[in-house]
Amino acid sequence: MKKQDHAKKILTTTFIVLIVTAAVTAAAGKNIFTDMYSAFMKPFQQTAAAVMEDRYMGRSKEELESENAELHAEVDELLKRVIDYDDIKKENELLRKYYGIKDDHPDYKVAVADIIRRDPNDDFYGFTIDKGSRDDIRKNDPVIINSGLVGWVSEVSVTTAKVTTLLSPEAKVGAMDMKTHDSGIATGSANYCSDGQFILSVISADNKIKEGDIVVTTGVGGVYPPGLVVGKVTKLDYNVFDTTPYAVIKPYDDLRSISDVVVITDFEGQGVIEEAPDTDVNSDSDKKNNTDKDTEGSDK
Amino acid sequence: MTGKYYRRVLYIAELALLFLIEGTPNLLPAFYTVKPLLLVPLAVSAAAFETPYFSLFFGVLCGLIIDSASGGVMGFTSIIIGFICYYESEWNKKYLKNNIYFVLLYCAAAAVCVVGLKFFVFCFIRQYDGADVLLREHYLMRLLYTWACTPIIYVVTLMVSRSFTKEKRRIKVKKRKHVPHSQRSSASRRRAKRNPL
Repeated sequence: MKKQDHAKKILTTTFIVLIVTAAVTAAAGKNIFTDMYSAFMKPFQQTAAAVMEDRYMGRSKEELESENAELHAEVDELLKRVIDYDDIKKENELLRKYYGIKDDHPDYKVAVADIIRRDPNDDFYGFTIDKGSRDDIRKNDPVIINSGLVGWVSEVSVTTAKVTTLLSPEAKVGAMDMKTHDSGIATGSANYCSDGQFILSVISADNKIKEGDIVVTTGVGGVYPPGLVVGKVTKLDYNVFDTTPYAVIKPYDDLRSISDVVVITDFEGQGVIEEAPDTDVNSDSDKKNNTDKDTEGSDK
Repeated sequence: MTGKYYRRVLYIAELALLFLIEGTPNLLPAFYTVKPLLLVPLAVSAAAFETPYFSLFFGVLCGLIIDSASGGVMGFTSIIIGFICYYESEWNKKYLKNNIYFVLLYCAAAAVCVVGLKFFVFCFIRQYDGADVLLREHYLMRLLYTWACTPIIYVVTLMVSRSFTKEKRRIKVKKRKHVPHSQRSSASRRRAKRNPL
Protein backbone atom coordinates (compact mmCIF):
# COMPACT_ATOMS: atom_id res chain seq x y z
CA MET A 1 0.00 0.00 0.00
CA LYS A 2 2.82 2.31 0.90
CA LYS A 3 4.49 1.64 -2.45
CA GLN A 4 1.31 2.49 -4.36
CA ASP A 5 0.89 5.77 -2.48
CA HIS A 6 4.47 6.67 -3.23
CA ALA A 7 4.01 5.99 -6.94
CA LYS A 8 0.82 8.02 -7.01
CA LYS A 9 2.63 10.93 -5.38
CA ILE A 10 5.43 10.86 -7.96
CA LEU A 11 2.99 10.67 -10.86
CA THR A 12 0.91 13.53 -9.54
CA THR A 13 3.97 15.70 -8.92
CA THR A 14 5.34 15.01 -12.38
CA PHE A 15 1.96 15.77 -13.93
CA ILE A 16 1.69 19.06 -12.07
CA VAL A 17 5.28 20.08 -12.94
CA LEU A 18 4.67 19.38 -16.60
CA ILE A 19 1.40 21.32 -16.66
CA VAL A 20 3.04 24.28 -14.96
CA THR A 21 6.00 24.10 -17.34
CA ALA A 22 3.70 23.96 -20.33
CA ALA A 23 1.72 26.88 -19.05
CA VAL A 24 4.83 28.97 -18.39
CA THR A 25 6.46 28.21 -21.73
CA ALA A 26 3.26 28.84 -23.60
CA ALA A 27 3.00 32.25 -21.95
CA ALA A 28 6.68 33.34 -22.31
CA GLY A 29 7.52 31.93 -25.80
CA LYS A 30 11.29 31.55 -25.29
CA ASN A 31 12.98 30.32 -22.12
CA ILE A 32 15.86 28.33 -20.70
CA PHE A 33 14.39 24.98 -21.76
CA THR A 34 14.03 26.01 -25.38
CA ASP A 35 17.59 27.34 -25.36
CA MET A 36 18.94 24.08 -23.98
CA TYR A 37 16.92 22.05 -26.41
CA SER A 38 18.03 24.06 -29.42
CA ALA A 39 21.70 23.94 -28.36
CA PHE A 40 21.52 20.16 -28.04
CA MET A 41 19.61 19.52 -31.21
CA LYS A 42 21.34 21.96 -33.53
CA PRO A 43 24.02 19.67 -34.96
CA PHE A 44 21.53 16.87 -35.59
CA GLN A 45 19.17 19.28 -37.23
CA GLN A 46 21.88 20.68 -39.42
CA THR A 47 22.86 17.23 -40.62
CA ALA A 48 19.28 16.29 -41.23
CA ALA A 49 18.72 19.56 -43.05
CA ALA A 50 21.74 18.98 -45.25
CA VAL A 51 20.52 15.52 -46.13
CA MET A 52 17.08 16.82 -46.82
CA GLU A 53 18.52 19.62 -48.92
CA ASP A 54 20.27 17.05 -51.09
CA ARG A 55 17.05 15.16 -51.35
CA TYR A 56 15.26 18.34 -52.13
CA MET A 57 17.81 19.17 -54.84
CA GLY A 58 16.91 15.85 -56.36
CA ARG A 59 20.38 14.23 -56.32
CA SER A 60 20.16 10.51 -56.62
CA LYS A 61 22.65 7.92 -55.41
CA GLU A 62 24.06 7.57 -58.94
CA GLU A 63 24.63 11.31 -59.17
CA LEU A 64 26.43 11.33 -55.85
CA GLU A 65 28.56 8.41 -56.97
CA SER A 66 29.50 10.15 -60.18
CA GLU A 67 30.32 13.31 -58.24
CA ASN A 68 32.47 11.20 -55.94
CA ALA A 69 34.28 9.71 -58.92
CA GLU A 70 34.86 13.19 -60.36
CA LEU A 71 36.29 14.37 -57.06
CA HIS A 72 38.56 11.32 -56.94
CA ALA A 73 39.79 12.07 -60.45
CA GLU A 74 40.42 15.66 -59.40
CA VAL A 75 42.40 14.48 -56.36
CA ASP A 76 44.46 12.15 -58.59
CA GLU A 77 45.14 14.98 -61.01
CA LEU A 78 46.26 17.26 -58.19
CA LEU A 79 48.45 14.51 -56.76
CA LYS A 80 50.05 14.02 -60.17
CA ARG A 81 50.67 17.74 -60.39
CA VAL A 82 52.31 17.69 -56.97
CA ILE A 83 54.60 14.83 -58.10
CA ASP A 84 55.38 16.69 -61.34
CA TYR A 85 56.05 19.78 -59.29
CA ASP A 86 58.55 17.87 -57.14
CA ASP A 87 60.29 16.51 -60.26
CA ILE A 88 60.44 19.94 -61.85
CA LYS A 89 61.68 21.44 -58.61
CA LYS A 90 64.47 18.88 -58.40
CA GLU A 91 65.42 19.35 -62.06
CA ASN A 92 65.37 23.09 -61.55
CA GLU A 93 67.76 22.75 -58.63
CA LEU A 94 70.10 20.64 -60.75
CA LEU A 95 69.90 23.10 -63.65
CA ARG A 96 70.67 25.92 -61.27
CA LYS A 97 73.65 23.90 -60.02
CA TYR A 98 74.92 23.44 -63.57
CA TYR A 99 73.90 26.87 -64.77
CA GLY A 100 77.58 27.87 -64.93
CA ILE A 101 78.30 25.30 -67.63
CA LYS A 102 75.57 26.62 -69.88
CA ASP A 103 76.65 30.17 -69.11
CA ASP A 104 80.29 29.50 -70.04
CA HIS A 105 79.44 27.45 -73.12
CA PRO A 106 76.27 28.74 -74.77
CA ASP A 107 76.77 26.30 -77.67
CA TYR A 108 76.27 23.28 -75.38
CA LYS A 109 72.95 21.48 -75.42
CA VAL A 110 72.78 19.66 -72.12
CA ALA A 111 70.58 17.18 -70.28
CA VAL A 112 70.84 17.00 -66.52
CA ALA A 113 70.60 13.42 -65.22
CA ASP A 114 70.53 11.58 -61.93
CA ILE A 115 72.57 8.46 -61.30
CA ILE A 116 70.08 5.69 -60.61
CA ARG A 117 72.29 2.63 -60.45
CA ARG A 118 75.89 1.69 -59.88
CA ASP A 119 76.54 -1.86 -60.92
CA PRO A 120 78.58 -3.75 -58.30
CA ASN A 121 80.03 -5.91 -61.08
CA ASP A 122 81.62 -2.92 -62.86
CA ASP A 123 85.30 -2.65 -61.98
CA PHE A 124 85.65 0.90 -63.21
CA TYR A 125 82.69 2.54 -61.44
CA GLY A 126 80.40 2.91 -64.44
CA PHE A 127 76.81 3.91 -63.72
CA THR A 128 73.32 4.20 -65.16
CA ILE A 129 71.54 7.54 -65.55
CA ASP A 130 67.84 8.29 -65.72
CA LYS A 131 67.90 9.83 -69.19
CA GLY A 132 67.90 7.98 -72.49
CA SER A 133 67.32 8.37 -76.21
CA ARG A 134 63.95 9.95 -75.41
CA ASP A 135 65.93 12.87 -73.97
CA ASP A 136 68.16 13.21 -77.07
CA ILE A 137 71.01 11.25 -75.55
CA ARG A 138 73.14 9.23 -77.97
CA LYS A 139 76.01 6.81 -77.67
CA ASN A 140 79.37 8.51 -77.04
CA ASP A 141 77.89 11.77 -75.76
CA PRO A 142 80.31 13.32 -73.25
CA VAL A 143 79.24 13.27 -69.61
CA ILE A 144 80.44 16.02 -67.30
CA ILE A 145 79.96 17.58 -63.88
CA ASN A 146 80.71 21.07 -62.70
CA SER A 147 84.33 20.25 -62.09
CA GLY A 148 85.00 18.56 -65.42
CA LEU A 149 84.73 15.47 -67.59
CA VAL A 150 83.35 12.25 -66.11
CA GLY A 151 83.17 9.87 -69.08
CA TRP A 152 80.92 9.07 -72.01
CA VAL A 153 77.62 7.39 -72.74
CA SER A 154 78.44 3.82 -73.70
CA GLU A 155 74.93 2.32 -73.99
CA VAL A 156 71.58 3.97 -74.55
CA SER A 157 68.05 2.71 -74.06
CA VAL A 158 64.86 4.72 -74.38
CA THR A 159 64.73 5.88 -70.77
CA THR A 160 68.18 5.15 -69.37
CA ALA A 161 71.82 5.26 -70.44
CA LYS A 162 75.01 3.65 -69.20
CA VAL A 163 78.04 5.81 -68.62
CA THR A 164 81.61 4.54 -68.71
CA THR A 165 83.94 6.67 -66.61
CA LEU A 166 87.44 7.90 -67.35
CA LEU A 167 88.64 5.32 -64.82
CA SER A 168 88.02 2.58 -67.40
CA PRO A 169 90.93 1.42 -69.58
CA GLU A 170 88.47 1.68 -72.48
CA ALA A 171 88.55 5.46 -72.12
CA LYS A 172 90.77 7.20 -74.67
CA VAL A 173 90.43 10.96 -74.38
CA GLY A 174 92.75 13.42 -76.09
CA ALA A 175 94.00 15.68 -73.29
CA MET A 176 96.78 18.17 -72.65
CA ASP A 177 98.47 20.03 -69.86
CA MET A 178 96.89 23.47 -69.76
CA LYS A 179 100.16 25.19 -68.84
CA THR A 180 102.78 23.35 -70.90
CA HIS A 181 100.50 22.13 -73.73
CA ASP A 182 102.02 18.66 -73.52
CA SER A 183 99.36 16.37 -74.84
CA GLY A 184 98.55 12.70 -74.41
CA ILE A 185 95.70 10.27 -74.00
CA ALA A 186 93.75 10.21 -70.77
CA THR A 187 92.85 6.62 -70.02
CA GLY A 188 91.96 4.43 -67.06
CA SER A 189 94.42 2.14 -65.40
CA ALA A 190 93.75 -0.86 -63.20
CA ASN A 191 96.59 0.30 -60.97
CA TYR A 192 94.93 3.58 -60.10
CA CYS A 193 91.16 3.06 -60.52
CA SER A 194 90.72 2.00 -56.89
CA ASP A 195 92.02 5.42 -55.84
CA GLY A 196 89.67 7.17 -58.27
CA GLN A 197 92.57 8.24 -60.50
CA PHE A 198 93.56 7.63 -64.13
CA ILE A 199 96.62 8.34 -66.27
CA LEU A 200 97.72 10.59 -69.09
CA SER A 201 99.66 8.23 -71.31
CA VAL A 202 101.47 8.60 -74.65
CA ILE A 203 103.20 11.78 -73.57
CA SER A 204 106.56 12.79 -75.00
CA ALA A 205 109.73 11.83 -73.15
CA ASP A 206 110.80 15.48 -72.86
CA ASN A 207 107.48 16.69 -71.47
CA LYS A 208 107.37 19.56 -69.00
CA ILE A 209 104.37 18.37 -67.03
CA LYS A 210 104.57 19.05 -63.30
CA GLU A 211 102.55 17.91 -60.31
CA GLY A 212 99.56 20.15 -59.76
CA ASP A 213 99.12 21.04 -63.45
CA ILE A 214 95.58 21.08 -64.77
CA VAL A 215 94.76 18.75 -67.64
CA VAL A 216 92.02 19.63 -70.14
CA THR A 217 90.55 17.99 -73.24
CA THR A 218 92.02 18.89 -76.62
CA GLY A 219 88.77 18.45 -78.52
CA VAL A 220 90.57 16.49 -81.21
CA GLY A 221 88.30 13.88 -82.72
CA GLY A 222 85.14 15.85 -82.18
CA VAL A 223 83.88 13.59 -79.43
CA TYR A 224 84.67 15.80 -76.44
CA PRO A 225 84.50 19.59 -76.53
CA PRO A 226 87.89 21.29 -76.13
CA GLY A 227 88.88 22.86 -72.82
CA LEU A 228 86.92 20.55 -70.51
CA VAL A 229 88.80 20.01 -67.26
CA VAL A 230 89.89 16.40 -66.88
CA GLY A 231 91.75 16.65 -63.58
CA LYS A 232 94.95 17.61 -61.81
CA VAL A 233 98.34 15.91 -62.16
CA THR A 234 99.25 14.22 -58.87
CA LYS A 235 102.28 12.14 -59.86
CA LEU A 236 104.68 11.53 -62.73
CA ASP A 237 105.85 8.00 -63.30
CA TYR A 238 107.32 5.57 -65.84
CA ASN A 239 106.00 2.33 -67.21
CA VAL A 240 108.17 -0.45 -65.78
CA PHE A 241 108.11 -2.43 -69.02
CA ASP A 242 108.80 0.14 -71.72
CA THR A 243 109.92 3.13 -69.58
CA THR A 244 107.44 5.44 -71.28
CA PRO A 245 106.40 8.30 -69.03
CA TYR A 246 102.86 8.89 -67.85
CA ALA A 247 101.16 11.31 -65.51
CA VAL A 248 98.66 10.25 -62.86
CA ILE A 249 95.56 12.46 -62.91
CA LYS A 250 93.07 12.96 -60.13
CA PRO A 251 89.67 14.37 -61.11
CA TYR A 252 88.38 17.26 -59.03
CA ASP A 253 85.36 15.23 -57.92
CA ASP A 254 85.46 11.61 -56.85
CA LEU A 255 83.98 9.79 -59.84
CA ARG A 256 83.15 6.83 -57.59
CA SER A 257 80.59 8.73 -55.54
CA ILE A 258 78.98 11.47 -57.68
CA SER A 259 75.20 11.47 -57.73
CA ASP A 260 74.19 13.61 -60.71
CA VAL A 261 75.77 14.51 -64.04
CA VAL A 262 75.23 16.56 -67.18
CA VAL A 263 75.21 14.97 -70.61
CA ILE A 264 76.30 17.24 -73.48
CA THR A 265 73.96 16.21 -76.25
CA ASP A 266 75.28 18.75 -78.75
CA PHE A 267 78.12 21.25 -78.98
CA GLU A 268 79.86 23.34 -81.57
CA GLY A 269 82.37 21.20 -83.45
CA GLN A 270 80.81 17.89 -82.48
CA GLY A 271 81.87 15.23 -84.94
CA VAL A 272 84.44 17.54 -86.58
CA ILE A 273 87.93 16.07 -86.64
CA GLU A 274 90.48 18.83 -86.05
CA GLU A 275 94.22 19.10 -86.02
CA ALA A 276 95.84 18.55 -82.66
CA PRO A 277 97.09 21.70 -80.94
CA ASP A 278 100.38 19.92 -80.32
CA THR A 279 101.90 17.25 -82.49
CA ASP A 280 102.13 14.47 -79.87
CA VAL A 281 98.62 13.17 -80.07
CA ASN A 282 96.57 13.23 -83.21
CA SER A 283 93.26 11.69 -82.34
CA ASP A 284 90.95 10.35 -79.72
CA SER A 285 90.15 6.68 -79.71
CA ASP A 286 89.18 5.20 -83.05
CA LYS A 287 86.02 3.82 -81.61
CA LYS A 288 84.68 7.24 -80.73
CA ASN A 289 84.85 8.83 -84.13
CA ASN A 290 82.34 10.71 -86.11
CA THR A 291 81.09 7.74 -88.09
CA ASP A 292 80.31 5.76 -84.97
CA LYS A 293 78.40 8.71 -83.52
CA ASP A 294 76.25 9.09 -86.62
CA THR A 295 75.45 5.42 -86.96
CA GLU A 296 74.62 4.84 -83.29
CA GLY A 297 72.40 7.81 -82.77
CA SER A 298 70.13 7.64 -85.75
CA ASP A 299 67.10 8.58 -83.65
CA LYS A 300 68.43 11.99 -82.80
CA MET B 1 47.39 -20.85 -55.05
CA THR B 2 49.26 -23.13 -52.69
CA GLY B 3 52.09 -22.28 -50.33
CA LYS B 4 54.62 -23.38 -52.94
CA TYR B 5 53.53 -20.64 -55.35
CA TYR B 6 53.43 -17.96 -52.67
CA ARG B 7 56.92 -18.98 -51.65
CA ARG B 8 58.19 -18.71 -55.20
CA VAL B 9 56.54 -15.35 -55.70
CA LEU B 10 58.30 -14.20 -52.54
CA TYR B 11 61.63 -15.40 -53.92
CA ILE B 12 61.06 -13.24 -56.98
CA ALA B 13 60.16 -10.30 -54.72
CA GLU B 14 63.33 -10.91 -52.71
CA LEU B 15 65.29 -10.97 -55.96
CA ALA B 16 63.84 -7.61 -57.02
CA LEU B 17 64.56 -6.11 -53.61
CA LEU B 18 68.16 -7.32 -53.50
CA PHE B 19 68.75 -6.14 -57.06
CA LEU B 20 67.59 -2.68 -56.02
CA ILE B 21 69.69 -2.71 -52.87
CA GLU B 22 72.92 -3.78 -54.57
CA GLY B 23 72.63 -1.16 -57.30
CA THR B 24 71.42 1.84 -55.34
CA PRO B 25 74.27 4.34 -55.13
CA ASN B 26 75.73 4.93 -51.66
CA LEU B 27 73.34 2.49 -49.95
CA LEU B 28 75.52 -0.51 -49.14
CA PRO B 29 78.86 0.23 -47.51
CA ALA B 30 81.83 -0.42 -49.77
CA PHE B 31 84.47 -2.94 -48.75
CA TYR B 32 87.79 -1.86 -50.30
CA THR B 33 85.73 0.23 -52.77
CA VAL B 34 83.74 -2.80 -54.00
CA LYS B 35 80.13 -3.88 -53.51
CA PRO B 36 78.77 -7.43 -53.21
CA LEU B 37 76.81 -9.41 -55.80
CA LEU B 38 73.74 -10.17 -53.70
CA LEU B 39 71.94 -12.23 -56.31
CA VAL B 40 74.53 -15.03 -56.21
CA PRO B 41 73.88 -15.98 -52.53
CA LEU B 42 70.15 -15.53 -53.11
CA ALA B 43 70.07 -18.06 -55.95
CA VAL B 44 72.18 -20.53 -53.96
CA SER B 45 70.09 -20.10 -50.79
CA ALA B 46 66.80 -20.55 -52.64
CA ALA B 47 68.15 -23.69 -54.33
CA ALA B 48 68.65 -25.24 -50.88
CA PHE B 49 64.86 -25.31 -50.36
CA GLU B 50 63.55 -25.82 -53.86
CA THR B 51 63.18 -28.49 -56.51
CA PRO B 52 66.05 -28.89 -59.02
CA TYR B 53 64.08 -27.44 -61.93
CA PHE B 54 62.93 -24.36 -60.07
CA SER B 55 66.48 -23.92 -58.76
CA LEU B 56 67.79 -24.06 -62.30
CA PHE B 57 65.18 -21.52 -63.45
CA PHE B 58 65.83 -19.18 -60.52
CA GLY B 59 69.61 -19.45 -60.92
CA VAL B 60 69.37 -18.67 -64.63
CA LEU B 61 67.06 -15.73 -63.88
CA CYS B 62 69.49 -14.29 -61.31
CA GLY B 63 72.39 -14.78 -63.71
CA LEU B 64 70.56 -13.10 -66.57
CA ILE B 65 69.80 -10.12 -64.37
CA ILE B 66 73.45 -9.85 -63.32
CA ASP B 67 74.54 -10.10 -66.95
CA SER B 68 72.04 -7.57 -68.25
CA ALA B 69 72.85 -5.07 -65.49
CA SER B 70 76.58 -5.23 -66.05
CA GLY B 71 76.22 -5.01 -69.81
CA GLY B 72 78.32 -8.12 -70.27
CA VAL B 73 77.70 -11.19 -72.36
CA MET B 74 74.14 -12.39 -71.73
CA GLY B 75 74.06 -15.90 -70.32
CA PHE B 76 77.64 -15.81 -69.12
CA THR B 77 76.78 -15.71 -65.42
CA SER B 78 73.40 -17.41 -65.76
CA ILE B 79 74.94 -20.65 -67.06
CA ILE B 80 77.27 -20.88 -64.05
CA ILE B 81 74.67 -20.02 -61.40
CA GLY B 82 71.95 -22.11 -63.07
CA PHE B 83 74.09 -25.25 -63.08
CA ILE B 84 75.38 -24.78 -59.54
CA CYS B 85 71.84 -24.25 -58.23
CA TYR B 86 70.52 -27.27 -60.10
CA TYR B 87 73.19 -29.59 -58.74
CA GLU B 88 72.91 -28.11 -55.25
CA SER B 89 69.21 -28.91 -55.19
CA GLU B 90 69.76 -32.37 -56.67
CA TRP B 91 72.56 -33.27 -54.25
CA ASN B 92 70.68 -31.85 -51.29
CA LYS B 93 67.86 -34.21 -52.13
CA LYS B 94 70.04 -37.26 -52.56
CA TYR B 95 73.26 -37.05 -50.59
CA LEU B 96 73.86 -33.94 -48.53
CA LYS B 97 72.22 -32.36 -45.54
CA ASN B 98 70.45 -29.05 -46.07
CA ASN B 99 72.13 -26.57 -43.76
CA ILE B 100 73.93 -23.24 -43.81
CA TYR B 101 77.42 -24.80 -44.00
CA PHE B 102 76.69 -26.46 -47.31
CA VAL B 103 75.00 -23.32 -48.59
CA LEU B 104 78.14 -21.37 -47.68
CA LEU B 105 80.18 -23.94 -49.56
CA TYR B 106 77.97 -23.76 -52.65
CA CYS B 107 77.97 -19.98 -52.50
CA ALA B 108 81.75 -19.90 -52.33
CA ALA B 109 81.88 -22.17 -55.38
CA ALA B 110 79.37 -20.02 -57.28
CA ALA B 111 81.11 -16.75 -56.36
CA VAL B 112 84.54 -18.12 -57.31
CA CYS B 113 83.17 -19.32 -60.66
CA VAL B 114 81.31 -16.07 -61.45
CA VAL B 115 84.00 -13.65 -60.28
CA GLY B 116 86.94 -15.81 -61.38
CA LEU B 117 85.61 -16.44 -64.86
CA LYS B 118 84.82 -12.75 -65.29
CA PHE B 119 88.35 -11.88 -64.30
CA PHE B 120 89.74 -14.46 -66.69
CA VAL B 121 87.64 -13.39 -69.66
CA PHE B 122 87.53 -9.62 -69.16
CA CYS B 123 90.89 -8.90 -67.56
CA PHE B 124 93.34 -11.71 -68.08
CA ILE B 125 92.63 -12.35 -71.75
CA ARG B 126 92.45 -8.63 -72.52
CA GLN B 127 95.77 -8.21 -70.70
CA TYR B 128 94.86 -5.12 -68.75
CA ASP B 129 97.83 -3.30 -67.36
CA GLY B 130 97.66 -3.97 -63.62
CA ALA B 131 95.33 -6.97 -63.82
CA ASP B 132 96.98 -8.33 -60.67
CA VAL B 133 95.98 -5.17 -58.77
CA LEU B 134 92.47 -5.55 -60.11
CA LEU B 135 92.39 -9.17 -58.96
CA ARG B 136 93.66 -8.30 -55.50
CA GLU B 137 91.73 -5.11 -54.86
CA HIS B 138 88.50 -5.77 -56.75
CA TYR B 139 87.80 -9.39 -57.56
CA LEU B 140 88.99 -11.02 -54.34
CA MET B 141 87.32 -8.35 -52.23
CA ARG B 142 84.06 -8.70 -54.17
CA LEU B 143 84.24 -12.44 -53.74
CA LEU B 144 84.76 -12.16 -49.99
CA TYR B 145 82.05 -9.51 -49.59
CA THR B 146 79.58 -11.58 -51.60
CA TRP B 147 80.38 -14.66 -49.55
CA ALA B 148 80.09 -12.72 -46.28
CA CYS B 149 76.54 -11.66 -47.20
CA THR B 150 75.42 -15.29 -47.62
CA PRO B 151 74.33 -15.99 -44.00
CA ILE B 152 71.99 -12.97 -43.92
CA ILE B 153 70.43 -13.82 -47.26
CA TYR B 154 70.20 -17.49 -46.27
CA VAL B 155 68.29 -16.60 -43.09
CA VAL B 156 65.85 -14.37 -45.00
CA THR B 157 65.31 -17.06 -47.64
CA LEU B 158 64.87 -19.70 -44.93
CA MET B 159 62.17 -17.55 -43.31
CA VAL B 160 60.42 -17.12 -46.66
CA SER B 161 60.64 -20.84 -47.28
CA ARG B 162 59.41 -21.85 -43.81
CA SER B 163 56.56 -19.36 -43.75
CA PHE B 164 54.70 -21.43 -46.32
CA THR B 165 55.70 -24.96 -45.36
CA LYS B 166 55.22 -25.01 -41.57
CA GLU B 167 51.44 -24.80 -41.75
CA LYS B 168 51.17 -27.86 -43.90
CA ARG B 169 53.30 -29.98 -41.54
CA ARG B 170 51.34 -28.92 -38.48
CA ILE B 171 48.03 -29.88 -40.08
CA LYS B 172 49.41 -33.29 -41.03
CA VAL B 173 50.59 -33.94 -37.48
CA LYS B 174 47.23 -32.84 -36.09
CA LYS B 175 45.34 -35.19 -38.38
CA ARG B 176 47.40 -38.14 -37.20
CA LYS B 177 46.93 -37.17 -33.57
CA HIS B 178 43.14 -37.07 -33.73
CA VAL B 179 42.62 -40.61 -35.00
CA PRO B 180 42.00 -42.82 -31.94
CA HIS B 181 43.87 -46.08 -31.89
CA SER B 182 40.73 -48.18 -31.47
CA GLN B 183 39.18 -46.70 -34.59
CA ARG B 184 42.13 -47.43 -36.83
CA SER B 185 41.98 -50.22 -39.33
CA SER B 186 44.17 -53.26 -38.82
CA ALA B 187 46.31 -52.24 -41.82
CA SER B 188 46.95 -48.77 -40.44
CA ARG B 189 47.72 -50.25 -37.00
CA ARG B 190 50.30 -52.49 -38.61
CA ARG B 191 51.73 -49.51 -40.51
CA ALA B 192 51.92 -47.46 -37.31
CA LYS B 193 53.67 -50.33 -35.56
CA ARG B 194 56.23 -50.57 -38.34
CA ASN B 195 56.82 -46.82 -38.57
CA PRO B 196 56.02 -45.10 -35.27
CA LEU B 197 56.77 -41.59 -36.70
